[in-house]
Amino acid sequence: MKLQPTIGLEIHVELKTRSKMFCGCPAEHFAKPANSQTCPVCLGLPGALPVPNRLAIDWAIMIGLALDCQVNLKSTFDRKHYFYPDLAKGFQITQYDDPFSFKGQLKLESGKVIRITRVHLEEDTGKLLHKTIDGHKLTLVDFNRSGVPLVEIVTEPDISSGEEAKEFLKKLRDILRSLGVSDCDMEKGSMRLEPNISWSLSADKLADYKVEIKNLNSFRFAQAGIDYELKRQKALLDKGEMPVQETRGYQPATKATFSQRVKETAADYRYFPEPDIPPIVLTKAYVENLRKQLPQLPEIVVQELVKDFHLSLSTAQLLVKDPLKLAYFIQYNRQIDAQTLANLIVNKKIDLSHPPQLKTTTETVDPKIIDQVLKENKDVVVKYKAGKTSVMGFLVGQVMRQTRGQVDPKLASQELLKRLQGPALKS
Amino acid sequence: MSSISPKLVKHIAKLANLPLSAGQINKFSSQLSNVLDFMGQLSKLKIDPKKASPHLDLTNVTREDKIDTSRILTQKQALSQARKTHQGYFLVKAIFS
Amino acid sequence: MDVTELTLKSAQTGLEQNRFTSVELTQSYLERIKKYNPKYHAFVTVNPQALVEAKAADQLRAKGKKLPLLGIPLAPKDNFLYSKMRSTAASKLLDNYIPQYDSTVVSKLKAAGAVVIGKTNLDFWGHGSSGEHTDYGIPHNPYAFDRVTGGSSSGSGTAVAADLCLMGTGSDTGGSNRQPGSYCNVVGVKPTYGRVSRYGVIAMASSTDSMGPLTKTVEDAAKFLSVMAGHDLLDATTVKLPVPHYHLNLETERKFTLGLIAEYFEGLDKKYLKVIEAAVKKLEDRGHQVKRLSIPAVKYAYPMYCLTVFAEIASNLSRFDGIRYGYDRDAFGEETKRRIMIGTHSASSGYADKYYNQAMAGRKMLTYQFKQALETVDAFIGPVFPFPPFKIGERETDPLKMYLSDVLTVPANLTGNPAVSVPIEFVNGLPNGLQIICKHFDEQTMFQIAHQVEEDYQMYKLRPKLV
Repeated sequence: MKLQPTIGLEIHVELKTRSKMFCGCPAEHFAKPANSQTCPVCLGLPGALPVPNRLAIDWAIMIGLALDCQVNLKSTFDRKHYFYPDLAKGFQITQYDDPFSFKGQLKLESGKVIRITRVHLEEDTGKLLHKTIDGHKLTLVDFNRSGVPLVEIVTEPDISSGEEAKEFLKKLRDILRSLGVSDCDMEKGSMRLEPNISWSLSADKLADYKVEIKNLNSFRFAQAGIDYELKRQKALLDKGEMPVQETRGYQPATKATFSQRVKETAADYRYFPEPDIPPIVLTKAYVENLRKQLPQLPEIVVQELVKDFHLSLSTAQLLVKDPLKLAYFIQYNRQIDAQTLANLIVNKKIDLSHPPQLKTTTETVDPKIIDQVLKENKDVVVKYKAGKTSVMGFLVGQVMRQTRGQVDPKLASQELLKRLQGPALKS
Repeated sequence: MSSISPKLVKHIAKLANLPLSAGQINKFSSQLSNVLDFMGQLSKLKIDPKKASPHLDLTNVTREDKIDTSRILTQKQALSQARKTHQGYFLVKAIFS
Repeated sequence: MDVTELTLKSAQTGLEQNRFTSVELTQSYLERIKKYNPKYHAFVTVNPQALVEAKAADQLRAKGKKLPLLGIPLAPKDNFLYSKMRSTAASKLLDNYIPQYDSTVVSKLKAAGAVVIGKTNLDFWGHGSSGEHTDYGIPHNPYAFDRVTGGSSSGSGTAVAADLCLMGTGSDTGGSNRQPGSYCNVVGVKPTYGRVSRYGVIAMASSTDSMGPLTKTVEDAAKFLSVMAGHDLLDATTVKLPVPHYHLNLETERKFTLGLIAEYFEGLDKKYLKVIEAAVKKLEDRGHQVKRLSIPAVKYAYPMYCLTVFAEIASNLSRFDGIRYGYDRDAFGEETKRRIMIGTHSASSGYADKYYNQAMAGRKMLTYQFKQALETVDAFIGPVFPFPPFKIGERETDPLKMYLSDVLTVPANLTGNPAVSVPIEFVNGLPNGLQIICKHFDEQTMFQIAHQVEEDYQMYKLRPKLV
């Protein structure tokens, strides 16, 4: 009986919808003045009622589809009850029995499949701030984040190392970004990870304990934390000791985990169907329509960039990682040489908020542009060939216009000359 | 026959975040037993065990992803009914996570 | 003007014909409130701005403005949020709570020109059917001072019966509008679930709370409901059906088939049986048919109600943690704590299958049986309460006995059907109502039948002698 590292991930992702999950407050909450973006619903005032955000539902389903999940045609929202000062209503609206999607998978480069258990939609909580004021330890509460749409993605315990976890997370983040549904910014907390770790006989025969790690705010920390935790547990097991079921934090300075809270008994959340929200019933056609809206998976886009534009694999991967960069490339690659443009973008030498304004930096002129200029100005060409070389200036000007001034005029002149003295133009 | 022991009453009170006095714990132990024993007659009803939700016939009631400025409270309004606040925040006794 | 003579209709005529102003009308009620409220405890809070609101209504009228409730002094139950006044739900936990927003119903009433004269008393949070569970003085029955008013809309029932305002709102979760209707000799309406917005009404049980009117006459209730009702974007459980002008269509030549459900009459006190049967006989004399039927699941309705509704109560009251508003949870009254405890247990791990889930499945069965039965009849006719208004304090000691007084009203809440209590002959000299239950969203038929019962008895003409 050999024990192996058994790691499952719970990933929370904030959706970047305009409004919150169940009310019309802005969902963007980063660095806003405390409690300035609340309403009766997300502040949990008496009598307020939730109405779900359609776009958040669509996006949650699209995430499920992108992860190869099955979609529940009938889903409900449920109430999960617990008391905590950042939970305005004393319950969180989430999905328990019938999440939007379930049973998916994501493949690693090695071909290994990580099974996805479920993808469901819920609401975020407020934020706590711990402070000492006048010698008293106090907790401050800000509800701006309360009610922001949150998608939870849960994997089966199929991951075996920190490195695999990191690869999985990177792939997942690339998919979520390509869907355009979340910033997945670990530092801002729009993507949060909770790995649970044990040494088990297999993913189907789990150990009697598991350890959850919290407060991991980068993929690097996730990898290091998982690896540290595996080592720590293994050492205990080798001594014949059973690791304790608990939640541990991660300390980047020491690259070690530390005990935070020992779970005595399983929490009793008293789930029941949210009576304020009627069920969501989808048709197959509706789901298929969402599937059609899925952008191509990042891997496939990378392959196409390499094939169609002759980009290097690494450049293509870097472009695909950032939807803004990719969009910019797709929009402007006809105006500038594709490889040049791609390099400028990935090396951050171009301002993505404006069209490309290159200053005579291109080293070649697109032959198509030369062709076009010559074709459009046949009368001028005739004049040139008749000996009136002064018209060259005009032709160079035309090339400059077509390339938005991104070509060295000397270079343009050389290229034009080559063509005019070369074989006759096809008409 | 008491189906709800004082120990169970304490457990339920903890789940429900309700402070109960010793007197209330004993009183509730007998009253809750009485009430729940009576409600237990429901098990006589033969029921399709399919999961049921409380909703009537409505489905798919959603809202568009739009900001509704008419309902947003100012920070002052949000905090207006709280007993303790501090620089724009609600204030509670220290919570250790 | 003698306000004890007024109904919504006659008050509106008086205002329209300039026989009195809204200020005068409101002033008359305020004087009676000043005189009687200290004894009857119908109101938790009287609106200090009531005369200002009345004056504004008079000014609108002078400008030729026509609104359905212009200048009418009425009173929302104190769990309907109104940002200009505190809302306590009759619990000292919310003693100083000034809501940051208006409930949809109050917004609609204000838009219709109504004057909010005050907020009425209730069993705190809606927890009771006698009116005795309140932190603001137990309301007394206008027809028998030492007896209960019925609850939980006890204050609205008392205020309307004692002519302390023209109309009151109520929230009916398990009978809370029909019960004070029955005990206070007024009309108490529970509309179809989803007919009236719950937004901004402090929730008792989200899946059964139905907001409706308490009035002197059926016509008043019909008109009041047509103002309150309608789809609300802020309440996902309201429906998009148009709202009829119920009051314009009360007279009908239709002959109805009326169902008497055996389970509603089992073990009913003989005196009650007699007056109910007399009321049914009068309907038969009008040419309606009576059909006797059985709905077996009704027998289990109370356990279904207790185990699902109390779970929702526990859930909905979780937000009262004393952080953002109100006082700490130890300020809950004992009855509220009891319900939270029962509801928490019902849905907790290891017990949910036996209690909450079983009750929820039972509820589906009951709803189905109601639907089937209502395909063969137009309405169910039956009693509201199994016993007459008892003396204040008499039943306080036994919670189970207290809960079971809801046994005849909770089925319509579980199934969502509309129901009304309309006053009929007194029993032992004490008020009593007849319950009429109709198909979903068929309030029109319900009002038509109630209107005929009212014509037969005209109980609204009887006024209580206040002490």
